[in-house]
Amino acid sequence: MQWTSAQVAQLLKLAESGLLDAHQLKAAADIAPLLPARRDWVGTLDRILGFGGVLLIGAAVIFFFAYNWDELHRFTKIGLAVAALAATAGTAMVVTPFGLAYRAALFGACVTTGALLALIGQTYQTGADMWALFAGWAALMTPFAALSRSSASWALWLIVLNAALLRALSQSLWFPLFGLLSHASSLFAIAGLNLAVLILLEYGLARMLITPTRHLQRLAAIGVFAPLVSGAIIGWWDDRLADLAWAFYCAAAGAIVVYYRLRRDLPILALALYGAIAVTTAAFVVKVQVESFIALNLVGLLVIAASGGAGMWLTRLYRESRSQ
Amino acid sequence: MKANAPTPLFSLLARLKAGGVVSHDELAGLAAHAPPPWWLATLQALAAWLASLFLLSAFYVPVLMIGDSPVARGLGGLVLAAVAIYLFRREGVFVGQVALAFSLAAQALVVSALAGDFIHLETDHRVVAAFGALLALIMMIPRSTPTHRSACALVALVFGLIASFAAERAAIQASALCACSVGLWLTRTHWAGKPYGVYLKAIANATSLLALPAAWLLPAFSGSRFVIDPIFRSLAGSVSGMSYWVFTLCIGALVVATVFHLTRELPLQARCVALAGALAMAFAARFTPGLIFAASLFLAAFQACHRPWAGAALLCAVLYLGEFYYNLQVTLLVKASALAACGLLLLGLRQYLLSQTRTDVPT
Repeated sequence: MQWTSAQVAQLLKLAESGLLDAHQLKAAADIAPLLPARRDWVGTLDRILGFGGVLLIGAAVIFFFAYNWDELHRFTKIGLAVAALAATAGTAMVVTPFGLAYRAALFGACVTTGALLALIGQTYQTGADMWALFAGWAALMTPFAALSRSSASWALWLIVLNAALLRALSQSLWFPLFGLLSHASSLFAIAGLNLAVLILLEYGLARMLITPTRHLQRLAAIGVFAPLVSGAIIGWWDDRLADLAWAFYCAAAGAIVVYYRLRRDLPILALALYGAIAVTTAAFVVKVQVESFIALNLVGLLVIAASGGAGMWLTRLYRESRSQ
Repeated sequence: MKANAPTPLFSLLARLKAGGVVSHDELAGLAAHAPPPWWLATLQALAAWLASLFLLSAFYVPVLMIGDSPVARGLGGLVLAAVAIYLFRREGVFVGQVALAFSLAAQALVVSALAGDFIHLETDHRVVAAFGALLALIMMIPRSTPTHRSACALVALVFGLIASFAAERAAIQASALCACSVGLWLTRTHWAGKPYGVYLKAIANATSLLALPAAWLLPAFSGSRFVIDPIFRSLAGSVSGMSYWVFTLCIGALVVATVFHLTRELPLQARCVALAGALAMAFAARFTPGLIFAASLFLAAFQACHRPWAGAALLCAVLYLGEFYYNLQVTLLVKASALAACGLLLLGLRQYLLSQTRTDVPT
């Protein structure tokens, strides 16, 4: 029986790490060649040549229209974008429902919806704010994402929704990117949006997916923790963000209880634990006045002890979950 | 992030034991070396670098306060290198990352001792770069992690390129880098179990990491949009258009050689079709040699069963395609024609592949 590509990769990695010697690697090669099987090559080349060919021809069409863009009438431009949207949606209607082609076509429809909105905004100079474009995109792609029942389409939806909120929050400020972090309410709003999505996913929405993976929950969890951790760290220096530290600790404690006791999810647990280490380290730096040789070493040792403990505990949980 | 999916390592170990490749005791040892999942390793690495930052600050401050002299920096670097070598003897992702940070900091300190003031170099920059490359190669020798060896190989390569750089040789240097990367992955099964395999793996990683941006930068510097930018004009002007064509020819030869190597056990007709396809691809995509290199690296990495580099090659192919849009050497109409020709060629090759697999007996 052939080795799978993943097994060959593992074998070569073990040999390169010195865990298998040359004789053992040769013995493994005697069982079956340490190369991708013929079916792996055929399957991969089939996908790469097919996808690559379509991608290059698609790029050629875009380049061609870009060459003639100034000469095109605005109706033609809009017509091209509508035709692309119709082609992707039409493909989804004729292929096997919920298959790879179906999900890929509807993902394409989600992307093309945004391109169409951007083109309308550019052609007719609607004057709409950027956040309105993203919000409209998220709203209009929702039916496609719901029909596709794929993680990829819903992940794009969540990212676009976050982009809409980020743009809406930053537009009211004089210095958008850095200004955003100076308002606790903005960071609470981003974390709150993602928390709402996470709760919806945990209580039923994820059942809509064809393949029940937990990518979306983890993406939403990153959306909850990223603003809270960054805000909490800055909050030790800036009093305006001080409340975020306590909000973060509450969220981290809640995540540890839920994702350790109720619904075991190690990546989210790791996110909460390592976020807590980062926020606590920042607190030490501010409160202990880290300037001396001893204080710097103390903080370094604190990070080593906390991260080492968290790493060992998470590795043990990971191995337990694998052996079950 | 499939936290609860069965790991391929355990099924592999079971098969190795069943085939008599490893004993029961060795099996337990191999299982104990099972790496943590990538998301945990990443978080541990971040924490390790944070800890290293504090520890290194605690070390640097007194060293610099005692006296910011080359001798102090050199001695400080040697102490850090010794600590790094000691830490590499211990197991674990976290310790490995702390040791990596110490090793890189040590190399920076020792090189800075020779260089003096980095803004106004007291020593010729080629000598400093050659010394840095030598130091990085020496740091590869003691027992350490694969990440550390790859980082050292990368440092050695970058310093080596700086030490030997000449604008008129840039195309040859970039082509050699690309060929080395592809060649090493193609021959991975031959060197993986050998004692020097750990070093070749590090060099393969480093050359691939440098070759991918080189395949974009060299054509860009050789007479396209960077010429417009005054910051790059002096350097771009020193790299003649000839470099571009030398690089394109070398990369074209590389993809043909890669296909020649990979198809050596195929029937003559299939081999001829594959080689003709590679040749046609090299010609049609001559305005964007990055695409041709990405194809070579993908094929070599796939043959070596190294998914990360195969994936990186595909990702870079898409990025090269985006960059090609801004290339000023040819018009968008010519670019569209070249891309359409490449696309049709790939679809034609796919049809040929499918027709062959339909007629073949499954093996």
